[in-house]
Amino acid sequence: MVALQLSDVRVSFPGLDAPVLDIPRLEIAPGENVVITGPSGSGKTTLINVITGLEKPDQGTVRWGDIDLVPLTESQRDAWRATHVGLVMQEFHLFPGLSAIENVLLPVRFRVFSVPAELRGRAAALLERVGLKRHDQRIETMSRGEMQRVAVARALLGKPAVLVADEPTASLDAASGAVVGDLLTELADEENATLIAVTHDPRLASRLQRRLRLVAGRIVEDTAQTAVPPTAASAATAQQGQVTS
Amino acid sequence: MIPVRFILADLRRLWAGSLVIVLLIGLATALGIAVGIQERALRLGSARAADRFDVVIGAAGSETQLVLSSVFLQAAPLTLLPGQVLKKLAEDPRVDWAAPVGFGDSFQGSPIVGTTNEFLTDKGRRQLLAGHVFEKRTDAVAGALVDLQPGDTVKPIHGLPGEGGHSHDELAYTIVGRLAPTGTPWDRAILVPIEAVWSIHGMGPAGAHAESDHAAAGDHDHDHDGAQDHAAADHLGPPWSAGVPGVPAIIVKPKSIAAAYQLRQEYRAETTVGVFPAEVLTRLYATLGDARLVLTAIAIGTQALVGAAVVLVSVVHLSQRRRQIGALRALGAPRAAIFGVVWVELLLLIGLGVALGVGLGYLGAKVAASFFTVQSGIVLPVTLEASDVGFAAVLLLVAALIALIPAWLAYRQPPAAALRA
Ligand SMILES: Nc1ncnc2c1ncn2[C@@H]1O[C@H](COP(=O)(O)OP(=O)(O)OP(=O)(O)O)[C@@H](O)[C@H]1O
Ligand SMILES: [Mg+2]
Repeated sequence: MVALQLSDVRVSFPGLDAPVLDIPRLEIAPGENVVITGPSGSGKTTLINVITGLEKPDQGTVRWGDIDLVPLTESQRDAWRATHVGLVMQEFHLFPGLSAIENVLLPVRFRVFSVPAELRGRAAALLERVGLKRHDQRIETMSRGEMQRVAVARALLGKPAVLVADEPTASLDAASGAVVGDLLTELADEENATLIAVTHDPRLASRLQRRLRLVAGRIVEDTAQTAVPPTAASAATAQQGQVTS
Repeated sequence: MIPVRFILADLRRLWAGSLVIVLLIGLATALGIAVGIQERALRLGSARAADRFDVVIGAAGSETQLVLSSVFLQAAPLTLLPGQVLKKLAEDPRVDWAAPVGFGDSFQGSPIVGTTNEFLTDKGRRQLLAGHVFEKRTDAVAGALVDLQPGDTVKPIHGLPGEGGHSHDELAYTIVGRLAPTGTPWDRAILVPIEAVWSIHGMGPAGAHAESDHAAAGDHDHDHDGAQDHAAADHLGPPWSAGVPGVPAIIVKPKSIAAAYQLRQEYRAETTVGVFPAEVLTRLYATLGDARLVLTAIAIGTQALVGAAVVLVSVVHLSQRRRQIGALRALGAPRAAIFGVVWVELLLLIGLGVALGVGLGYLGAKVAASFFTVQSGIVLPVTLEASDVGFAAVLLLVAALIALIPAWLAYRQPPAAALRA
């Protein structure tokens, strides 16, 4: 469990006068649940990219515990991300032609020669946990909701300290979105991971403890909110397809 | 680490494009391989065809034409040698045997060639496949590929195969034997006693024509008496009488290598020419070498074009996969692994293509060689040799280096693309 500490972070792109991201200071405690909101183009994805080491800020420090990502090389950041971050993306980025469980194991396969049995067991357990029974089903035959649940299982396989989701429910219908949103909060809690989610989904947003609002690359709002405790009946809620806020 | 399953799934998903790449590379490789194999086969095949012809003596003129006519039976009108030359050679102590070859007629597309029994059997060293050698003037021995059996009748047509001509009704041969296959144009020839060729063209006593109508019969100054003596006994082959008629070419089997050089030297005179067919062929290949160079250049050009096309396709393809590659990186795949995936995928396709090309090239060369054999009678030994495989290996190596370009581009791709639409 590590804390995130951003200071003096600034990202700009050539041709744009104002920086896309400008954060003098931001701290996220270990295990915290944070939702990032803001209008389109306000820099939410850029912030995610910076804190996961996918993008290097022009200046500042991005410190996870003792490690500052900014001076690391790309390969070092890749390695750090592989062991510390679980990522769930709006486009699931699952790989057709592979089964559900192979998709869950894919990131590991890029790093080790043969997958240890206990990791395979964990992959299966995670798939069960997200409510998927047919682990050998080809990914392209799954529904979008099922796909995103596979992506959630994949994100958690390496026991990441941080679970990062960028619009995880935006490309799903309300019912599937609710299931995925609930799974994310529940699993972050169960796995003791910090959860950082970018979302417009009020239901998911309402379940997180802290809300950051970005406008034009700046944090304009940082509020603690009383999180709705995770319900054990999330699946039932999802079936009703209701979105509560 | 490069996940094999991922690569296989990826290639399966992109099977159509992959197939096209494999086929393109296969065809380009096949072209180069086939040129190499074919050229070597042609060289070996014609060298083998010339094997039995140690020294060929003809009238002064084109050495190449002499070899093409006598060794490869690509008949063309040759100036006749005086019969005395044949007699002198046959009696030369350095000569094992000297056989005349006389052309001019054909039967059902097969050239009819006049010669002696010594040539048929290499003076007893070779067995006939069936039947026996010439015993009478009307006897004929068929080459291995001629579709005639002992007992069949051959009515010669004047002229070369394919040229229409009048038939010689005055004479018919009977097939009495068949030669073993040699893989040379002689397999398609019908061999008859040279005496019969002389007489049919008015150069012997049996010739009904007082005045020959055949240009090839040429030499009219012959001492017919001598020929008559010769014919009277119905004697075939050497020893030749003093008045032996002229012949277009003489094939000489010297007793030693030294004798061969001496004979060639001696007959390189004003009116005669002596050649080693193998040497003439070597000179011919030097000329053909340029043609081969052009073909090789075309093959390499094709390979370069295909290589460029493959690089282009893979770069375009990569740009379509920017987000996928970004996602793999975002999920923690190391850059080196991304590099490896792209490189290995390309290398697999290229490897398959090159392997396919080696097979196709070999098959293509075989097909081309069999057409050539049908045309010329020369059997081309089509073989796949280490040098061909070496050529394929060089191709693979170059391709592996070129495939580094897209792999490098993938390596350089920023992972941030994964989260952007
Ligand atoms: N490579 C780039 N070059 C130039 N501008 C860029 C680049 N990447 C992002 N931007 C700009 O940075 C700004 C922030 O982008 P970002 O993707 O972080 O927005 P966002 O808040 O995630 O928006 P959305 O809600 O639509 O996903 C946008 O104005 C975008 O156009
Ligand atoms: Mg975004």
